[in-house]
Amino acid sequence: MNQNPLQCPASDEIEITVFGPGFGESIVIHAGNNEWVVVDSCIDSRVGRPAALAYLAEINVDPSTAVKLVVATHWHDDHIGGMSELVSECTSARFACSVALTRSEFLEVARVYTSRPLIVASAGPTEISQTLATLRARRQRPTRAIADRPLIRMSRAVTGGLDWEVTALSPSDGEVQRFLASIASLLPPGIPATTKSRLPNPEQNDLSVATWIKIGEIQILLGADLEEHGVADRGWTAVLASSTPPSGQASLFKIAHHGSANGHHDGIWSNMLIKSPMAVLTPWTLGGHDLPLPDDVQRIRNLTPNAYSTSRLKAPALQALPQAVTKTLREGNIKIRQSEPPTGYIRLRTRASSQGPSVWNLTASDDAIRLSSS
Amino acid sequence: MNRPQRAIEYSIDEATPNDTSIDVSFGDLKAFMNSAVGRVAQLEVNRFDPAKNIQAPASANGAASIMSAPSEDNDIGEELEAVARNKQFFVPISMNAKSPKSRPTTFSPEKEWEGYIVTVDRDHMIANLIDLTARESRPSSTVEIPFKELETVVDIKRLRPGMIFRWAVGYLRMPGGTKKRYSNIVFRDLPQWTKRELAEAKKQAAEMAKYFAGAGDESEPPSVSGLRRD
Amino acid sequence: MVGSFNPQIFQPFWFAHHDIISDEDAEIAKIAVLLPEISRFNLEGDFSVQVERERFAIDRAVAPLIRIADVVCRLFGELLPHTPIGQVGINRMIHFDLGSQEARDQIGIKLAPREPWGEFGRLASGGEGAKHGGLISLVLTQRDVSDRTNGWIQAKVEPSHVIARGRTGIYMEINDHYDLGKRPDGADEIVEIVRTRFDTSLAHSDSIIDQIMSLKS
Repeated sequence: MNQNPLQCPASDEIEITVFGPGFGESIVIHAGNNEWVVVDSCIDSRVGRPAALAYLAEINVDPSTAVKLVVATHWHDDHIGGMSELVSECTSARFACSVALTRSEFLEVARVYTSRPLIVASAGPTEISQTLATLRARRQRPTRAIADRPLIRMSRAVTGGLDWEVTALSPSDGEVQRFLASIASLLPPGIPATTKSRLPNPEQNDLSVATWIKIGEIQILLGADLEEHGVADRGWTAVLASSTPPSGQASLFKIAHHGSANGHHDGIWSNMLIKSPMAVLTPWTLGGHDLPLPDDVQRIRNLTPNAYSTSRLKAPALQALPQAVTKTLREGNIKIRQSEPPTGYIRLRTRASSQGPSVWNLTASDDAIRLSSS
Repeated sequence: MNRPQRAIEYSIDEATPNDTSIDVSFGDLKAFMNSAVGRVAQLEVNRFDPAKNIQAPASANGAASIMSAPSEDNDIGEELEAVARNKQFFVPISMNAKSPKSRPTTFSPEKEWEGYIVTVDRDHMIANLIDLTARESRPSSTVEIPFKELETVVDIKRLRPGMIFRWAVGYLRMPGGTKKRYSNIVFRDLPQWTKRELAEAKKQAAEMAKYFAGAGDESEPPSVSGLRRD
Repeated sequence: MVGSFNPQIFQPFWFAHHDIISDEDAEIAKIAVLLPEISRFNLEGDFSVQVERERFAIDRAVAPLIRIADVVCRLFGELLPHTPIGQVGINRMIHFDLGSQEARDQIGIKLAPREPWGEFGRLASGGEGAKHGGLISLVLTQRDVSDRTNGWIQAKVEPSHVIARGRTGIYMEINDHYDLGKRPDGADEIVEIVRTRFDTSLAHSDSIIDQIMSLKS
């Protein structure tokens, strides 16, 4: 992989950088004219701060003025590390999240689990709770993402340059209602209630906000963690059945749900993407279930030769542990492994143009890999 | 409920002087509790008087002198009874130097994690770990622990995702120089949610949801060249 | 229910009744004394408790030490929240072996140089065996602590009497003390301090201890 020094994109360059540390991801998009969008947040393990902020600082972009939109496609801490800090610094940006996260059913659960913890571990909904509290303090309301709703439209009729917009493709109405109906089950049962714990990781990514980005004629599909259920009003089936689908096909795809089979739908590749698009995924190595699996890698390689991962698919070996620990692990048959590979990135740039196919130029961190050679 | 922890492999025979304590002093003594034996004692209010607080280290030495009795518990008991009979004696509020016993042991963990359960499978649990020794605040490793390693410290049937524990591994060091490997998992016995907390959360959630719902026309997103704010 | 604070109530079966310990552990707990003025019991390997009319102390000897913070938060954050508590000390005590009396003496000399003491300082450092002199106790107190209105952090260093018959060890005691400085209404504020500061306090205490241990040449 080549690694070029980080330089700020030119005003007429479209750029998308995908960061992936092993859990969570962050996508930073330059729509031209020093206008930026950030989708999700993760902590860059190399510097210990939100990857988007660290990157923008490296290329001398002021997030307080340049970032126009921040999208949270998830709500659990394991997916949006540093989101509250990101939103705090992007003071000019609109914030978008699933409509369900602004409803009292979810807010009550979030409030319960984040009240007075005595733990080092995050509570589960800490980041999203702090983010919403920041918005509330700023007297700002989130833009509520739901299927087929534009999140932002930027017209450059006056300033020059290409118009651009970001549209949510999910969640569907049905997903939202299903989520709100189930979230109440996470409230502590009864009084006296159970002792406090961390909000468990959600089993499904029902609220995931997949997005479609259009900059001039350049189209990008960000799949978030949207999963497929084979049911009409859910997942990718619902997206593909939309009565107002995006016009055109995307030349770049951030592969959904870390390349898993659950995140796959043939219709994405046949209907929404050009042939052999640029495809990027972020691996998942937290919690004992690694993604993508070898079968997933093979499937993706069969769909495009231009598939990349932001970091290695397996977390590196655990750093040396004290002898007492290694002996204890061995005798107890306890398996421990590192779950956070170094944060890698894939950066793609193309010239803004209203004609012809996009030619994406790729640069990447040393840890990023091309799936065809993995 | 949580069982108190036991060493997974070794038991501790002697109390160790390497310990940590929390001392709490009371002001007006209005205690509200359910007596295990069904008694309710009369209220005896002692007005809180900061002047009575003896500042350390004199207080520490005072505490140490109480505890420096011979190692047998009954000797300590006699000394404490004498203290109790001396109404003028004010035991200090902040220092509690524990009396060493005849063969003290020390335990310094070489590694300590805070972990939270991600999944509970048929015969093991999977948890994410935060390395406290390295002063981390985010998970950096994942562990799979068989149930047989947990049976002495927790009721396996009550394991569920989200439960939090601390895990310390190191050596018990004997004064004679020998050491024993020691591993200890403690599931956090965190306070229960109270009725008041739940009601407060509901109220705050409703207020925030009402505010967030208060935007104008949601059919059009912010647009024009530049952002239009609410 | 209004009542008076009764140390006799703080005994193992009351703890078991409220699910802080198991019934089995309550049965094997060692009760040292149980009187109207004072009660003390020890749950071997877990914690020991001593309660007097105006004082409550809980000790734990083995990591993870967070257990005692959890117990305190349950006791006074959940079960007895109306108990007025005005002060709390999070104390860390440790014995460590320096391997030789000479090594210990060197640390004592670094902490308390003898030259300013003149001839007395020279004489105090001499002697053999039971007549060997030197530093007996040193206490340093920080009173201006930025994270609290009242209180202090105090560190004490002494020879350890439990290691190698008192010849080669050092005992250190760090007292991290918080004082609300006012008449408390209940236990909320102190419980909040324990909840938010316990880990930080221990880490800070350990750093002080590490600093002294690093003096070993």
